[in-house]
Amino acid sequence: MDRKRIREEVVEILCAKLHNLPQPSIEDDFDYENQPLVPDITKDPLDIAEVSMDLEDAFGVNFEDTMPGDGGMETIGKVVDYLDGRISRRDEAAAKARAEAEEV
Amino acid sequence: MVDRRVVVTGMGVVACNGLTVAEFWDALKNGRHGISAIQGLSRPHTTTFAGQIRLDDLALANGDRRIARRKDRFVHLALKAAAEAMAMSGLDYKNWHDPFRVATIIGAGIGGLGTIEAEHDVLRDRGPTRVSPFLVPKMIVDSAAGDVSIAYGAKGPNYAITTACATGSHCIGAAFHHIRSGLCDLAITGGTEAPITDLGLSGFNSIGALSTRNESPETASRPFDKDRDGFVIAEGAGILVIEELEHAKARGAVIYGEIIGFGMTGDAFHETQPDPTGAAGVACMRMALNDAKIAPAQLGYLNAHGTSTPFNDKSETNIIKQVFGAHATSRALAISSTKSMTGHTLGAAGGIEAIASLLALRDGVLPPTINYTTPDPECDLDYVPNTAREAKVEYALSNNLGFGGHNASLVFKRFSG
Repeated sequence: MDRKRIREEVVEILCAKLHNLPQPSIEDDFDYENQPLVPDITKDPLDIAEVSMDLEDAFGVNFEDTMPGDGGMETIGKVVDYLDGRISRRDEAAAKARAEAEEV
Repeated sequence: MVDRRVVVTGMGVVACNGLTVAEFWDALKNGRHGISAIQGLSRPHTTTFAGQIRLDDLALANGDRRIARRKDRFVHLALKAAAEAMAMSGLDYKNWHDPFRVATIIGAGIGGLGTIEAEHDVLRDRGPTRVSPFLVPKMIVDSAAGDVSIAYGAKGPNYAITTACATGSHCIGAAFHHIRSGLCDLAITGGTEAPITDLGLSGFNSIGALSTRNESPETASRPFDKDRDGFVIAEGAGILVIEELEHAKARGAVIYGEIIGFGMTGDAFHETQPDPTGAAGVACMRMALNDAKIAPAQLGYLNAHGTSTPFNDKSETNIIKQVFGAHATSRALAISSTKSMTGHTLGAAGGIEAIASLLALRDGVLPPTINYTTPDPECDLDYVPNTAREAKVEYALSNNLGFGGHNASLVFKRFSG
């Protein structure tokens, strides 16, 4: 999954729950990359908890100690970077495991 | 110190037979019910009908998807009824003189049952980490009081009372006490309930409380009729704005009636059955009448708990006879159960029926007990059968009695300055 697709999916998920965020089809020029989540899009920790779970479900990752809106994921672009990094590492690990299995 | 007087200056109803006070009152005066086949449940139930409100959560939230998702249905119902009550009151809630003197006391008999069920499915199917962060704020029974206070900036006493089917009456009674005692000047108060869920239906069917007259849902709620076979579960909310009399007068508020008495007792007898002696029910009504400083013979209308269960209606008739004696047996006292038209809204009943009682006093029209066709020798009082009756009465009493033996009686007076 490339970064562009991850970003499209992240924006779609965030838009479904955070209604202050413009829908991509309506606002094509909107700068999602640099958009801070907190406090611009929501100040509510329940909103963050909910969209975090939706993102975890969609991408099969756990945010663990850090959550979107904070801890290095202040903007949507940084959330995408975090997910991209986690997915890349997971894909690499899976490829390595497959290669090792083939060698055996 | 002379007790402060407490008047009603706003009312809001969401019921299966009326989505506003005007619709609801027109339905009651014309004997229209709102009982029909249940829609939207996933399992087959022994009882297939209820008093459902044909608005989904999105419509109740005025199309706001975020609000619709974040609140349980019982809160949506309370918010809608509170909005009507606040609009009717004419209060400028954005500029409270003192928000700490505005109470919000709204209860539910159960709370967010639909939310609990849905999130339990998530827990079972997907594990503990997938349970919604909204589970707790949506399910807790005090969230209606919390959310209504948030909507109107009411920062005074704020809580929920849960006494099953007596919830709404207890909440209004507590708010009445707070204003009368001087703790606050205003209260948004009443009850709400959204119990028509798979678990709700299953539980009430398991104890045999619900009517199973599936072939004729429209005649299933038949309080005091010999052929009654259980109550008809329903959803709804009834919210009042109540206010200290001088406060209401000073701002030129329209006054819809006065609350003058409140009684409350407990049966200390059984989880779901009323005490056959009726001792606590009798004491409850007497307490309310004494509080109101009126004699039993002065009461003109009694809005009964009248659930349409074999037990309740017989027991309530018995306690009414003990309290009112010849005033009841001579049929001077008019009694009706508006649950024949609204179904039984559990924790909302006290709120909805307070409004029915207040409108009966205001307009001189006593709402009927519909579906009354076969007299029961054990229920032999005047139940205002089938059609509304014009009668100018000064005082009305509303009873609500809950599983657990909770009894609550409120006395209202037609406002005359």
